[in-house]
Amino acid sequence: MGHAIEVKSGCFSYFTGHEVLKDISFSLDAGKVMAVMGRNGIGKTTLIKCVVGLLKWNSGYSYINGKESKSTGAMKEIGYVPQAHKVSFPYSVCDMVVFGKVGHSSYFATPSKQDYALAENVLQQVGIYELKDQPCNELSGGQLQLVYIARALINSPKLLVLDEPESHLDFRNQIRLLKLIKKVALEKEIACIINTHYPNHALRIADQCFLLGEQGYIVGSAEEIMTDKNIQTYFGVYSQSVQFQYKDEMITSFSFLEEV
Amino acid sequence: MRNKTGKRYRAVMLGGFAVIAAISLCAILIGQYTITLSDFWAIIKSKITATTSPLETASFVIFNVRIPRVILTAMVGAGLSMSGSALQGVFQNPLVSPDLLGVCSGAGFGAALGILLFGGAGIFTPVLSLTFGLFSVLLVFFFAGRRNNTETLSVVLGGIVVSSIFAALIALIKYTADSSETLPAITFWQMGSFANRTYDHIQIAAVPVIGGMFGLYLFRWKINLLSLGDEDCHTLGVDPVKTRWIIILFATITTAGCVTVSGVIGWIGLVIPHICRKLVGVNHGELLPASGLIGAIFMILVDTLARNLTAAEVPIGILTALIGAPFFAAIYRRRRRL
Repeated sequence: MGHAIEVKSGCFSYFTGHEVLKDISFSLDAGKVMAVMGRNGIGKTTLIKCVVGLLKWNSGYSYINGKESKSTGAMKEIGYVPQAHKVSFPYSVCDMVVFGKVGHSSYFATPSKQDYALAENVLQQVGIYELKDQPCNELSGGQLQLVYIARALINSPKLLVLDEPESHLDFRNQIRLLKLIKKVALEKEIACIINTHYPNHALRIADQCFLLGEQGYIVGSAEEIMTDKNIQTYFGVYSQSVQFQYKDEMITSFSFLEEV
Repeated sequence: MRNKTGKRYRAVMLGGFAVIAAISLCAILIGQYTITLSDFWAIIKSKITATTSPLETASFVIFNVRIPRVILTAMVGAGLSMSGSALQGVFQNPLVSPDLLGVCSGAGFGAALGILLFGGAGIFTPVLSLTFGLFSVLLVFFFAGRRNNTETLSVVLGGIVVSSIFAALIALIKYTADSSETLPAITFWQMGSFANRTYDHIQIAAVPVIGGMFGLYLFRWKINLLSLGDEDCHTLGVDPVKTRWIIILFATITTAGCVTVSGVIGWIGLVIPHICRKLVGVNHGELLPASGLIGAIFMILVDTLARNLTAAEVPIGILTALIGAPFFAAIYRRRRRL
């Protein structure tokens, strides 16, 4: 016990007979970041959706903070950050963040003054306070992603799940986002699960890595999992890792050379 | 907190209430039988002190013709606009109108049946109309079933199917109807009008319209979440499928109640939400009340025009379309240029 999230032998299939996820088990502690990696179409997003409760495990369980999560009704303890998608109506940034509060309150809830104060507070933490009155559809992809993160944080979740947060961002924004995720995880003691296509990002911020393949999966500490050999088996790519010192950090970086 | 939009909303609502009071007074005074302001005060005074007024005709016109008409017009305008706003939000599409689910055709069929069977007199026509309006939503519900993924699309398709069936049935009634009396009655009903409406009509419409609007008002923040898409809605803690049906139900009950007493009045439910988004912004917490108020103002205004434009009354459905459609085209063009 004591894990922020624990998944026990979770299985999932969209159609009977074709299991996308087989017997998945892992756990993640508060304040830690886990990166989920794997090839396109291997089931990363499916895994994330099962964890958040958008999809229901066919068998197996996930426990959030020791509580079993059910697919009917999302849990307040989980903050989900979708990929930055377009909004149909140009809600203001502040409204968008407050929406995070509305859903989990009672059925006819309307946001209070405190909720708006809280939203401004969260926007400050995420670093986009000055955007609060802007309409959401005039923001860049990176800014919108930050708005969604703020919306997820407003409920003080125990688990933050991000679906490919750094896709569509330029690398300055990618670095900012990764730093923010790391900061949030440490300062607020939130467990974070991110879906990513970049091993370098995973190594930079993740304490734990989850590699999903066709035949199975491996999960463990980032250094253990992210090796040239594993990249070859799970991604079908030859790679070369380079290590170097930056400030007090030892950084491992991968270059991808050729298909297997 | 949210000073900028919040202030604007309060200003619009306060201004709106002032305008609706002024316009209602005008609507009560102006007409074939014109009443002066001083006569109006004299009648009100005598009503309060319970003395008999010397202006008996004027008093009758005010209390038995004009006031019920203004109340009914305001109710229908508010109802259609509010359900238009709600449905546009829920379907994430600003081109949706309250008629999306075939309510108007269903209610129209009920009314046509009532006119055919009972000559349109009495309480039967509106009751039949309301029944079939609600029945059409039930049919759409069964058509759409419980398929979650394509929910929005199947609801829209269900609306088209149900709408066509009732349109065909209306045509059938018209075809068999007596062409000297019944046929024109049905045709006029379909053009929409508030002529000869009494307190009976208000009684019929009040429960569905006010009840439906109250329901929509309670769910106004949930509409915001639904407009973000099902996935976001679910992860924010609201069941999208269930909540969407609840809102659709309230919106269509409201619409059915309106159509029942007024006939088919188009464009209001489409245009007013657009105007209100310009005035108070897109947040449905503020958009819904504002739509109701502005819709009521607009409808009283157009109905007063319909009564006074020519000697014989112009069916209001014709006017709303004639005013609404170009207006919509104009704001749409302007938005594209900006």
